[in-house]
Amino acid sequence: MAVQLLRTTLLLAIVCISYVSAISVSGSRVLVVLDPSLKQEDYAVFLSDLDSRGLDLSIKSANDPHLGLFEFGERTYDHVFLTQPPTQKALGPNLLAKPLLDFAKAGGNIVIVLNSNEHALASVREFAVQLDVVLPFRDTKLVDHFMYDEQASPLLHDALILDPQTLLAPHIVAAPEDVAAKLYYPGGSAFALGNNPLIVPVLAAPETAYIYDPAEETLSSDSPFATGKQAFLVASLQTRSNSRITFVASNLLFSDEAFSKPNSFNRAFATELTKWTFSEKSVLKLESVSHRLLEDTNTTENPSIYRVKNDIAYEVSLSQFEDGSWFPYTADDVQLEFTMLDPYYRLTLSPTHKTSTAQFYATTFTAPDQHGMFSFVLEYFRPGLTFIKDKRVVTVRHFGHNEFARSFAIPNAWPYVSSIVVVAGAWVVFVGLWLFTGENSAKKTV
Amino acid sequence: MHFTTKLPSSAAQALPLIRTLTLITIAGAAIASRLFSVVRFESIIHEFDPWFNFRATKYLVSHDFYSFLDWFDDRTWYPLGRVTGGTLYPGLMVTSALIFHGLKALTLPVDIRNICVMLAPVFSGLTAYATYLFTCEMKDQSAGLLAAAFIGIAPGYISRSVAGSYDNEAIAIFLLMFTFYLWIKALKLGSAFFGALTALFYFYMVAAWGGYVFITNIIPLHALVLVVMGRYSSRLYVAYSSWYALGTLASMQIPFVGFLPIRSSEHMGALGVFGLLQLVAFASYVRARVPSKHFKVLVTVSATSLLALGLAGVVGLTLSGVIAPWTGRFYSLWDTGYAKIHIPIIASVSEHQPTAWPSFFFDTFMLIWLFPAGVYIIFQELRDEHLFVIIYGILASYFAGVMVRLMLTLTPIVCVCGAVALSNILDIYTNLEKPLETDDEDKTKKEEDQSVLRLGSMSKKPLIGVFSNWSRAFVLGSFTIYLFLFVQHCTWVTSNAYSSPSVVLASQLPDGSQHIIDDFREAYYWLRKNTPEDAKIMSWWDYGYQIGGMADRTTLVDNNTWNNTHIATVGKAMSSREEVSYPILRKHDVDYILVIFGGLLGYSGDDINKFLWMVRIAEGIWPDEVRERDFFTARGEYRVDQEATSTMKNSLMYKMSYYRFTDVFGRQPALDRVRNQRIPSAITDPSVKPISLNTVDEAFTSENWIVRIYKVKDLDDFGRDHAIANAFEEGKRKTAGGRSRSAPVGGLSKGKARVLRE
Repeated sequence: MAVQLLRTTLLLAIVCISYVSAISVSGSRVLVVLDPSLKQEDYAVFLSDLDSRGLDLSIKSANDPHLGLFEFGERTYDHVFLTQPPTQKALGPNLLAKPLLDFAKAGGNIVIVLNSNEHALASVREFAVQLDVVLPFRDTKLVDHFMYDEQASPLLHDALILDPQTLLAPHIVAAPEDVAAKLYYPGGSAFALGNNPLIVPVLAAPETAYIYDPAEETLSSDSPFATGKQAFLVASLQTRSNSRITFVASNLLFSDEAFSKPNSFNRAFATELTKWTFSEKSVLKLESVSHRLLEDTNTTENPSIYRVKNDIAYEVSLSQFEDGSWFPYTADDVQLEFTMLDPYYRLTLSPTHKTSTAQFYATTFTAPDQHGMFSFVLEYFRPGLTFIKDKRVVTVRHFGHNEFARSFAIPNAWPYVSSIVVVAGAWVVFVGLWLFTGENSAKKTV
Repeated sequence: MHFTTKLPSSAAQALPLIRTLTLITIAGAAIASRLFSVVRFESIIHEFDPWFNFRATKYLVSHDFYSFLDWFDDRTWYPLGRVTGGTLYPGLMVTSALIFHGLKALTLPVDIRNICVMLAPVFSGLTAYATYLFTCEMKDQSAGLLAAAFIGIAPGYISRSVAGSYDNEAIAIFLLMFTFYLWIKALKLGSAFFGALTALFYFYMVAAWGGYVFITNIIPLHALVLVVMGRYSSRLYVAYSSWYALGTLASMQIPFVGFLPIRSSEHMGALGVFGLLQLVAFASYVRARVPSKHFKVLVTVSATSLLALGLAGVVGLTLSGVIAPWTGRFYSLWDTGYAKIHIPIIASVSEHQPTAWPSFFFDTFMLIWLFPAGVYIIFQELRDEHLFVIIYGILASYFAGVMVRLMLTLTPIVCVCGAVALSNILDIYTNLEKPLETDDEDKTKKEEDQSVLRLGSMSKKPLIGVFSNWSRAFVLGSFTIYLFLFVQHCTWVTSNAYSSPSVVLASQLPDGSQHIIDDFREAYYWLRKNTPEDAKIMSWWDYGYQIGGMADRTTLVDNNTWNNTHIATVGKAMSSREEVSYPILRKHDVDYILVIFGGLLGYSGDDINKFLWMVRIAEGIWPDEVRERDFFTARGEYRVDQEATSTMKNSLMYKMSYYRFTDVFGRQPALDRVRNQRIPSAITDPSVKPISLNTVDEAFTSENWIVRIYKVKDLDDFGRDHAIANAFEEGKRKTAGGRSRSAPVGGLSKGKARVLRE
């Protein structure tokens, strides 16, 4: 007995520990594909940062024969950090576009870091095209003649110093409070984005930047690949099943050199970006959904049938994952739709109480005077946050034949009710008269 | 003219017993001849509508009556739902439920399915009895027995009442005949009691079938004709008033009928005649007290003014919307082309098509030519009740000519008239009495020689009849042969034409043995076992009831065609390109699409043959987006081969029907065996692009390809367009599986195709 209790406690403790220590909601196994030509030492700070967060790194070369994203149909890693080797080498059969897409479909997260000096490989390009990310042409550089790094590239103007206040996605990487912080972009190209609504741009090039092909003779280009804010340095995508994919235009962003520059924001930027991509932050969870009849609290929760004009109470709770544990997520823009083909209601939920892990939101409304199969639709899609989608179909039925007010309870019906009573009474009286007074005359006529 | 045969008293006492035995035998024959389908196949519910009735009955049996009355069905017409309890005729379900509970109370637990399957045959026995009673009122008991025998086995009625055909008509024809019998009885006796009984059974009829409108109009018409012919009597007044007042009040208790009896044009005739009868009654009362000279003036003035007032009232109320105007279904009864132009959904039903001439003979055999003779004989006597038969006969013949399904209402009166005619013949030819001595012997002799039946002038009362044994034997003999042929024909038609459940198909193998094609149930059970319980299935409305009944899954549209727009939406989704259809499918939460495809087997009732109706119905709502013309080739042909228009080839229905169809044939031409056209095959002709489906996945195809089920894809995980995502997946597959082109699967299906072709 005692042994059993001990075992249970131990098991519980293990569960608790594993729960608390979980750095990411999707797991901690990271595959870092780092080509030997990119010296690991140059990224030591970045990699040790990842390691110190509790991620379980396996650093491998792209042509490692044992590298595989799946084993027996199961993911072997939870996240992939993919840097691109020099052009001549291919990524190998395990890192083609299809396995990468399958990996993301299976819930894995991916960071793709393009090489600052080399153009993108065919397989990476194919993968990017599927996500509507258009990678630049061969040998192009992003240049800016106004915001370049004077020390790093005095001639080509392809090393830029960016203002982190211009970061576009606060849920992915928030702008630093320190206004003097700088984001160093030590060289590389930039990519363009298509119309895919799932893409969230994180870092755009400055307005005066453009993509330039050094092979061209003139300094300017008549039809550059992308200019100004149309060129992107970092962009993320969250799939509909909440896998996260990030494209980074240059590996140098994460280099020790960039980290060590004065007032550099690069290190924090790299940390936040990988945290987001590896589902370590900005992860939301729908803790509970409940709806019931408003008037009596005893009714079973989430009934499958309501009646028209019922008062309905709806309540959800949301949690957010941050730094290894769940916290209440509070916002004022969570909305509920009550729809049948079209929304009959679109209500903003108001925060009510909160527990240690979840924030509750609630609203009440009266079911519309229309029967049918209605859905409680909660769609909370915010760029950078986990997509929350919940749809529950309930039946809203018509009034039963005995659920209408009785005629004598409606004052407007009293004239009709009284006329019925009068006619019926008059008939009884008439029959009575007929039977008892007509007897003699009837006999007489016969 | 009338020969009365005197029987010995012991024989006279035995007559009722013989009559009862005969009626029981007739009922037995009626039931037995409807059991072909149970014997051949199994005890199964047939066709389409019966599946809904069966499902509703099961609901009623498992719930109480009130929850049945308030039933909101959330498994059909997703997401609109259907107020089923208020939009059905509950008579049929309540009848079976009562039988079920009654038997249970007798400790005879019978499966509700078997009660439903056997209900129609049992009620056909009752119909025979009701027809017997009705005909007895018209002529005599021998005619009644004949009529009962006829209605018992006439194919026109059997077509709607074989075992398993669990439809409203199964009990409605019995109610129709019994109500008519009670009406005749009430009219003859002038009895308020029988009038009330008529109303009671009229109520039952209203509860059971929408065809009750036939009674609602034919009884007032009978009354009107009687009044116009000057045959008004207080008997008519009592019978009609008690029927109308009680019957109308009772019929309004059915939720589906509600206030229709006082608000719709179809019921105005009965109300008008009711008013007229009051006036006529009042007039006859006044006539007794006012001098005739004054009375004439009074009548003309009041009649014209009342008529004008009444007409103005009806027109005014109709225009102001208090009285609903005639419905489209009603118009289509007068103008057979009306439905095709204005309400394609009605015209698309095959049983709403005009009747072909041979089917009159097919459904009633020799009765169809005895029918006019019977009407003629009835005309000779022309009592009040005989008028009823004549009116019924005329109306029913007209309606049966307009719509195939109304053959059903014609059959009883054909049987009655045929029985009257035949029994008249038998009366005359089986009378063995010798002619008595008369004044006019020469004339009698002359007629005897000629063997002519003459209905001469009555003034001199000449003795006419057939007295030659030869002519008797000849006529009786030939009619005996006719009757034998009639029975044989009825049995043959019943067994061959009307006993197929249509859920299960039967075909004959070359060695003569029966081969059952059970694709429908195979597919429905696949749905039942492999899809989530709340999956929504889209199909053309024909299969809605069957999916609900057999697969127990939610459908978008079904055979209760109450919402034309919703049906048109499904039609649009089927007839549009995938890019147009997909948002519609998403909006309606469609999980699976079910199509019927007969091209491989040669099953002609498939969706491609019904496709034009989908297009037409969709065009009625979205004339800019769906055009029927686009589905025809430049020469106006409806084709599915390489000459098919691009609209046709790109429509979702075409793609789902022929998806991977050519793979079955390998290098042989892919022949669609319904339309006898060759489907362009990518295998034989490299320039052809094989049909690819981007937004749906093939989920299931039944053994003979009759039912194909597709699963609607979710939105792409990466926000891609489905066509792009599919192209990517397919491109990969091609490079990966290029070597295994001649996989054993292909060989297998080739072999199967060969078997099917043989």
